[in-house]
Amino acid sequence: MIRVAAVGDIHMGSDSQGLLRPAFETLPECADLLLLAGDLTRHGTPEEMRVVAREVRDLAVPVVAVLGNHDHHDERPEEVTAILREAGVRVLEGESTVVECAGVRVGVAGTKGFGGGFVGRSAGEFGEPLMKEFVRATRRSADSLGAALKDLHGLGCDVRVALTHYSPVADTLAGEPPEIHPFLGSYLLAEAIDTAGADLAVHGHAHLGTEHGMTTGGVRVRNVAQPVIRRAFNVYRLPAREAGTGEPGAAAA
Amino acid sequence: MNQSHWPEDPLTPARGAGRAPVPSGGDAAGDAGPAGNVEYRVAHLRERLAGEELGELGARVEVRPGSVLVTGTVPSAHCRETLLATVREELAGIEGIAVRCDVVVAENAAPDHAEELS
Repeated sequence: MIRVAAVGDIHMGSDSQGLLRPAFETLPECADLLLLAGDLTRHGTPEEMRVVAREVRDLAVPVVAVLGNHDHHDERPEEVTAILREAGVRVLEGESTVVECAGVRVGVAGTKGFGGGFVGRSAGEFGEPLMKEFVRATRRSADSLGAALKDLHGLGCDVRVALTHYSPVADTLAGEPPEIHPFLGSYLLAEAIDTAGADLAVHGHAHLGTEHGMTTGGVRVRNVAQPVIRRAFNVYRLPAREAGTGEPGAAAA
Repeated sequence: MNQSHWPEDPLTPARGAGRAPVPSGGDAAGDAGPAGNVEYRVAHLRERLAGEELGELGARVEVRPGSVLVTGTVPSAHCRETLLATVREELAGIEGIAVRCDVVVAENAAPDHAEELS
């Protein structure tokens, strides 16, 4: 059994220092790793990310993160990523990492993701260059997520988690105005997750959404935006796959 | 601060404060009348919440008959104060419209249980 703690959209600023640290210090009692699902800051400034870095530095569990759209606002994603990494956080963008937890190999594949919408109501790669680039950016992100998940399959992970900021499904957007769903996620992310396989998909971004959802392929999706879960983090207990059963989602009870 | 919840926090904006009201005359742009005026003011409010200090995209601002309702969860008490001040300033002086805010501060406590995914 592996215990995955996750939260997104903590939106830290200069007035936030110390708000989450007390709860994060309890993590070793209830979780094996912590996932941060983007929008860690308000404007993506180095100053704000240094607040986040101090909040998670030297925690007793591994921390894995993706950036969100807010973390890009100041247009210094490399700089804020470096600040997190210097604090020991594994920051993923189209990449994967393997965390060893009590003999269980947990693979996390992560990307920010992007928008475009969901089947039947999605944007297409057509028309103006800006519109095509919008959809292509999402497609590149989804492709990188799929490739990272496949890499984890090859590495023999017992549990695989897809970590994004944008949502892969519309389920977890329930509560958000349907008109803005194309700005909250894309089915391309879910398609990548279902094709490569995962045991859990975690995202943020949709503050007015709901926690629980599932991809068409049956992968559980959890929206961990802090306004949704109303806690410092949530914890999900996942059974580790039995050795030798390679199929995605073939988790042993 | 783990939770600050003011369930109904009516705001009575002072007349004349904030952005000048959008004209609601008889030309094409003004045909929307007072209701249209409120909608534009709400749109400007949302732009300010996103673009200024808060970078707030998660608050919902809805125009209802006779009122504007602001809801959402913000990361700190300071953010809530700033949001309310911006609302008060931007929606000041709209006749016949009550502004109500139901904005809470994010809960920062650790969970008391885990979800089992089998």
